[in-house]
Amino acid sequence: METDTATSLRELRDRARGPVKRITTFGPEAYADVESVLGQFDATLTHEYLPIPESDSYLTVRSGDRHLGSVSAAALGDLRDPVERPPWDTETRESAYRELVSLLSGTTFVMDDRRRLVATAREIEDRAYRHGRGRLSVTFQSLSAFRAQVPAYRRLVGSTDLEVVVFGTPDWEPPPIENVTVEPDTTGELTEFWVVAFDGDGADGRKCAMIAEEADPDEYTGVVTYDPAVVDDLIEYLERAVD
Amino acid sequence: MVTGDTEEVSHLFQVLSHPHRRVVVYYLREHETASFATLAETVTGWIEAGPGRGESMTDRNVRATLHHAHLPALAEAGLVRYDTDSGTVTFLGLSAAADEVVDASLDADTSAARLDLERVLAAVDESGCGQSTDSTTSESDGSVNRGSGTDSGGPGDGN
Repeated sequence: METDTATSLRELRDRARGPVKRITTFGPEAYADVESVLGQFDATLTHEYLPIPESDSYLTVRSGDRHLGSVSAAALGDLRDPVERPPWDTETRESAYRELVSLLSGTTFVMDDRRRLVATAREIEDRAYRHGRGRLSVTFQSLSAFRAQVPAYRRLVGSTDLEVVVFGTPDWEPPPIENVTVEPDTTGELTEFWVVAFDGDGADGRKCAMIAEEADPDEYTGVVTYDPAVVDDLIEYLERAVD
Repeated sequence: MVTGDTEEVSHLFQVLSHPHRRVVVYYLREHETASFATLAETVTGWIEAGPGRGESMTDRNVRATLHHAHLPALAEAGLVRYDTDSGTVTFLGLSAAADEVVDASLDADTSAARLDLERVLAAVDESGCGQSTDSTTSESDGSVNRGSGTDSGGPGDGN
């Protein structure tokens, strides 16, 4: 690549990492199944016993001395089984899992469950969907993997003014969809990555992306970032890659 | 003897009239001592996503009022010791009667029904919460894990 800002998706992913965050769960007991979800993120995990009902439990996320936010465990079920369907395609607008993903931006995750990765990427798509304008760049390991998502993306561009750019190794030719551009990638790098990036419609505060690498078969190492410089470089990198 | 308890309970009710002070007591009853940062995080999460969700207050304001108002009030009432130099808060314990009041208020603060605390106090008064104990304070009982691990409620049950 000619750019001097980014030489690989891996480098961009590493740049997206921030300081280690701390997750504290408050409630009657530490829930093994929720901990297994939280444990996928490279954060410090602590449990504080409180004699309150399980349904009233909560967790907080902080970075150093800074409180970032809290998630209600009334939504513990959603943490275990996050909504996979895209936000524009489901009644479930609120998602505790997306909230958690958002609070843990800059935190590396390792996931061996593709469905969970889909749910993680939904946080980026949801932000794009809610704003309704701008450009959403999405990579697929191959364009044939995009096939199953065609109806969902048709509805996304049908219900918003978003412009979607799809990148992938050209092993299948998608049907033409208005406001969806397909960019065949021949570099081969994208086959190991999954990238979703929203340009924020030009506003830094709205820019966000997920960069995940399938380091081992069915094991994804990635990060969600709101760092506008990283998101800008990422989108530029993708566009250069297919030039 | 009941009069002494009633006075103590009334005073406790006054001190615990603010939900953030109650959360501090709920936490410290289980852990005995805590850093200021942990208490602030506990209270902030409690009102943002826990049993007290719905109250809107920034985490900065939670910290400020905890430091300037609530912890000094709890210290004044003899419930905690607040060492501002080390940022450590230590629980000094509750009498058996006071402990029951805190049980009842915890029930009220966490039950789906959101009982009215005034009513809980009235109920505690009627049942004579001091009857089962003498009126000496038992400071070392502060960390008894009441109700932990069971679903049975506190004294509010069956009212």
